[in-house]
Amino acid sequence: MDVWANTNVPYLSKMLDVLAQRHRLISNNIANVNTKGYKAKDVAFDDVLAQVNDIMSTTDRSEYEEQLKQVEIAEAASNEGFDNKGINDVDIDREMSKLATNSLMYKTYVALLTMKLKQVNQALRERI
Amino acid sequence: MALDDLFASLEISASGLRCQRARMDMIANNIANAQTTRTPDGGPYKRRDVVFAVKTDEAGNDAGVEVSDVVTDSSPARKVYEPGHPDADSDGYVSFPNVSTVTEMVNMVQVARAYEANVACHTAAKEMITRSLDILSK
Repeated sequence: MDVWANTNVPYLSKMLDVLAQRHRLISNNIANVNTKGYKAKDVAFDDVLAQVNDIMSTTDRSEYEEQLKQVEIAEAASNEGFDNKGINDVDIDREMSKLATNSLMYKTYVALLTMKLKQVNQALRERI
Repeated sequence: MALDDLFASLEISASGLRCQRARMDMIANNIANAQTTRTPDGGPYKRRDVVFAVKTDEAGNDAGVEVSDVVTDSSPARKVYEPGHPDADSDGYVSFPNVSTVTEMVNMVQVARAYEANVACHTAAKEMITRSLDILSK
């Protein structure tokens, strides 16, 4: 019996993976704010989210962990068309706000995960 | 894996900090030498600037930024009429460095802001890692 099959732990950990990768790309955009010709990147977030939600709503609980693992976290151009003084297309204000949003989301998912693990822990303790 | 990405983010932010500091060093050097009329190569000091390039890791992923080159500004020297100056030419003009202190100050503010942005990134990644590790202790 898989302890996690009936919980949303695999979903939460997948989302943490997505957000961590997103943080890496945002950091890279900010580090390259003065690099000529750089193209800002981001995770194709809506796309990944749609795939994950699709799996969550259609797949059987016993199988969705495997399926979630296979969802590829694709990268996409971030600020196409933005002109940062002719150097590149990094919109620093947008990146900073994405950074804040992203790390708050990460903390939220960590909190949810912690809560879930506490519940499982509780269940294991009660059973004697 | 989530933590791998976060540790990579720390490294990326660090590369950003390193590059901005290199640029700040260059600006400080330009300002310090804004009046220097003698250099080992002869002639006045010439303004210098760093060029940034995207850094990639072995796997071809973006891994921050690096200083790819240091370029010398080839714009002409500033001529000032000062016949009493020991480096004045036969017409009494002295060639001063092509450094504009105002431009350097503007660049300096830009560097300071970019540095701050990278620090914010680094702090966020650090906090995310700490939170993730806290799961273990709950």
